[in-house]
Amino acid sequence: MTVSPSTRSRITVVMVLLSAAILVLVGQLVRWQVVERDDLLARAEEEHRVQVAATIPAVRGLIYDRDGSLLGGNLTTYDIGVSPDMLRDDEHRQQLAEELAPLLGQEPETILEKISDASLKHVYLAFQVPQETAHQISALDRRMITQEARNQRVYPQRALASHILGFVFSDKADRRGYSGAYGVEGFYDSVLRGTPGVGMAERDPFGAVIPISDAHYTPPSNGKNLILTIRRAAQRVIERELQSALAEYQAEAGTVVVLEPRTGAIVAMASQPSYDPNRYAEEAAVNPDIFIDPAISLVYEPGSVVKIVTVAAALDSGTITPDRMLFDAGAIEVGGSPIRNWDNQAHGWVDITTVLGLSLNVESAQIAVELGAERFYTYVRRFGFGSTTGVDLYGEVSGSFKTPDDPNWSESDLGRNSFGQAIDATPLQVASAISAIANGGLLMRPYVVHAIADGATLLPTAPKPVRRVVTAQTAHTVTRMLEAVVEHHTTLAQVPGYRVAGKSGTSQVYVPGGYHPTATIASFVGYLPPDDPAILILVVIKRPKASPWGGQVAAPVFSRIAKQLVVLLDIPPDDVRRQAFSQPVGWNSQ
Amino acid sequence: MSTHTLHPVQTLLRPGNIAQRFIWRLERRDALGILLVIFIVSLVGWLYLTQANAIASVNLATEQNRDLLKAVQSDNARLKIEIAEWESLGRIEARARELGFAPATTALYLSVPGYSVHEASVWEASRLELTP
Repeated sequence: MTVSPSTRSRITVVMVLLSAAILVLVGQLVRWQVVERDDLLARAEEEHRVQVAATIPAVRGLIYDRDGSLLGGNLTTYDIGVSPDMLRDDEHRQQLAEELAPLLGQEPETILEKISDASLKHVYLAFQVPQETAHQISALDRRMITQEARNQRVYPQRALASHILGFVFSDKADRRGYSGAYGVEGFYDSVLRGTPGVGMAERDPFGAVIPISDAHYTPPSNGKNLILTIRRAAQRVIERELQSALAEYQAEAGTVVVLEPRTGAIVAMASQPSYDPNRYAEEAAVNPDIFIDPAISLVYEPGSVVKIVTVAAALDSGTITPDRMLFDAGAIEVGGSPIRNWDNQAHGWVDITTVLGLSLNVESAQIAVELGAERFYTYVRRFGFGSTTGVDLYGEVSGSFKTPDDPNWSESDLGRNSFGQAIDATPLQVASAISAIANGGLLMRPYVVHAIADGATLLPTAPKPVRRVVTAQTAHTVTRMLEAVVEHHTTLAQVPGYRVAGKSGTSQVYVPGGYHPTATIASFVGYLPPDDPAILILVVIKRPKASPWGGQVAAPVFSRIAKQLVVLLDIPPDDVRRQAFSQPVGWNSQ
Repeated sequence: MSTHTLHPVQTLLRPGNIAQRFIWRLERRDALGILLVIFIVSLVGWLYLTQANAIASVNLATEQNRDLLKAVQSDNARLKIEIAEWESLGRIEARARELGFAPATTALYLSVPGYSVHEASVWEASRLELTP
């Protein structure tokens, strides 16, 4: 058979067209499969994958005390809701209301009122319902009931150590819906919160999740646990004693700090008034300032406690010697301002120990003048005044005092500062500064987290020396003087069986325009045993009415607390240590 | 009457010839091939369905286990809180008072003859992580 030329040409055209079409197809396939492969794959992933759950929340880390007692934990609670549009009729609504009422502790009528509008897709009936109740509601097997789980922070010891712990509050701005505030909850929020996980799965064209698809699950990384330096038994002792002291002396507020001078670890720290972090919302409605920790966030004038710093600075710089005698005329003028003793008396020739024991303002000012402003303020700064201690708690403030660099400073400030007036400091700053004397001259950074537990790994906090403030010899000399102060002068601070080194302080309360005529802040700081201090205790009582003096108000509280802590913390009395080590205990015999 | 000669292609495409050729091949070799293809496709299909079923089952079991784990963890957290509440010092003190206990105000230290305090102190210090 012969093929006509026209047929042949037609076949050729068809072949060419078909080849061209195939080439286009092949080209397009090469483009999709090779050139744009990665981009198209990514687009397909994006289109077909969907987050099954927006996030899988991480469990917030727990908080334990030094002995392993739980101070802050988590509880799963449920928000219970109903979809009224799924309820058929009034009878159905009535039946559901009667079933739920006893479980939710509500009247059936109340529930009925909430679910009466059949046009609503969803209404909440109750929030933060306990797990057991949620299980009972699940057993009803009603499709229209919804249960949304949420983590709730719980503090099983109630108000104990609330200022140290802080709390967790609902935070709409945060994607998890909550944030830590104040205390360790605020300071260590990023450690405690962990990282949420994500669940991803493929969906079909209708948006439904394909159960056999390639699902991706990134588990949440739970928050790390904190082990505090706080011992809850010691914490309870100071809270109870502080509360009873406020009642006894009709005082407004108070703070107690207990430190380990060698390490800077905070054994206990409490302020009154306090609050229950489980009920932070109710507390905030009554007094939003209640959450501020007075131990680290509020300043006061420490008063005569600062004389310890003045004397230590003068001894360390060689301005005075321990046996230096000073003549007390009862008054002195510094920078044009007269300074008098608290008792308005003149005591004649006195030694340095007596200056501290009788808490003489005149001699303190005299020593500071001899020391000179530059050296005095250098030592004050070295002891940590005017800067934060670096404690790992939320909201610490630095305190302040005027120096010769300030335009409104005058020499009279030097005189007043020497006995603790016009110096603003937090109770923790004062405790930390005097710890430097107790431990032999090292300023330690106070800390409240003993260790961070990441699973089975424990990351302990190493005690951190900030700087040496005075020589060990100076520190020992001052300690011996403070020991004599408690032995001969501030006797209410004594602890039977133990030698104590300490000093009281009484300061006026600063009010706009000057000082309050009668209100005072009474304080006492002491440590024991003086030769090898295990604990330092600072007691601050604000505006006591029964007596204005630190030696009469704060010293007995110190004594009561110390008597209990030596038992709880296993600090043997001096005679036991003497017997056990078969060597004399105390400075005088060394 | 003119004779109509068929082109070889036309001869090949005659329905009778196609059927004959198809039947011939089906009988000889293609039948086996088709059966083999059907068998392989069935096998692959069976394997796919088995695997899909296994994956779905495992996914379901994983989800159930995950839910169970979550429930157990929630229960565990609740129990921890309950234990801590029962062990709170307020409750312990109240219960101790009911049982006639009084707060310890002093500690009695006993001396043990021959006991080395120095060694004990070093051991205690290391236990408390005070030594490097």
